[in-house]
Amino acid sequence: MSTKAKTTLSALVTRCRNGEKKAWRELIDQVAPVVFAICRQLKLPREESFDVFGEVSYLLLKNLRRLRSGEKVLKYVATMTKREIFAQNRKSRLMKFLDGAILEEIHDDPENTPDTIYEIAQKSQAIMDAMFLLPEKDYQLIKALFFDSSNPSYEKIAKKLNITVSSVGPYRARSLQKLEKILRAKKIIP
Amino acid sequence: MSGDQDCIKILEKYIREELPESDREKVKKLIVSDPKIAGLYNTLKTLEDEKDASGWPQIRDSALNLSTRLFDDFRKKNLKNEVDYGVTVFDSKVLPLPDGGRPAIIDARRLKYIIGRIRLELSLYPVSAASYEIVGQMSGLTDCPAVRVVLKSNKATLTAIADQFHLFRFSRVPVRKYSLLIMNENKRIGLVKLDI
Repeated sequence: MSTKAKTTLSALVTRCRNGEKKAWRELIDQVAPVVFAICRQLKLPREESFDVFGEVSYLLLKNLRRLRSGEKVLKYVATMTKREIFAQNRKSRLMKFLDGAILEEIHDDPENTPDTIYEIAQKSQAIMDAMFLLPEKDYQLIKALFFDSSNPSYEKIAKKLNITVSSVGPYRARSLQKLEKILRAKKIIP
Repeated sequence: MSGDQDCIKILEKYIREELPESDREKVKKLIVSDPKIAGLYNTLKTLEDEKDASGWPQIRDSALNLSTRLFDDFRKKNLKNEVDYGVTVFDSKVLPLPDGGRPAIIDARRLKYIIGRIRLELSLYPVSAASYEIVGQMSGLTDCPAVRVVLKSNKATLTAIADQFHLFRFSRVPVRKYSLLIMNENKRIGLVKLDI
């Protein structure tokens, strides 16, 4: 992880530990996409996804002080998400079992095996890790262009990054090239 | 550089399937034959897939709303040093609606709280325009044979006795703000704030 990224995540974790609500929101903004990416790829319904998200957020907040370093937070969140999904799976299987499905052959859902859950979680985490390796401005730009629900205009992005509007396009091209190198080095893309 | 930007725009349209068929075929051939374009395509596709995978832009506000409430409850618990103060971990009211969807007038609301080792789930069913039936389930209770649940507001106090499964019910609760207390005999073991 780049020094700047470490600073960002570690600084956010430290500020959260000090009770800063704004830092908590920023931290959630960084890590929650991993939670929902895993849930969605496993086709969890909306309510269950938010259920998992709530439990993971609680555990993260409760254990912030125990995290050895802020940069481990993504890995921690991905791990907790997997555990919560397993727990929900076990509960729903138990309910099916008790529901008279004893005589049915219970097939393992090939899309929801522990290995699949693990792979999906690893991939989402790897993509987020890759983005965190970018220099700060490149990271903020990619985030604004792809993960900001408000779909900010180039003007807004330029203002936020303290660059000219006309340079957003070229900046984007360079940021994507940097990200491409990282994704290739991590074998996320060929 | 403007060549790169045009390339990015075209590849984005290709990924979103916004190109006419004839152009799609041309782009496909370029991706196969030009390593630079292939690399850019793979990077854009990875980002688009991850964005679609999480659905984050559509659910961001709801998720932040819920996590902020969780944070506020947690802070209150620590500031007041009240180990039995409930932290909201789920509220179906904050879930995002599909595009164009309106909130249903008649719809149950589900809430979940963590109170130390106790978990509390509430289902609120509208009975009339101004009142709800509340059904609650507690888990994680140990050595609590006689649990009462008390709903306190500035206007009234309602009490329900939990059964052996720690299930309880309030049949008609007026819409207002409450403190929900979980009592084991005369000792308070849980407190949550409830805004109906």
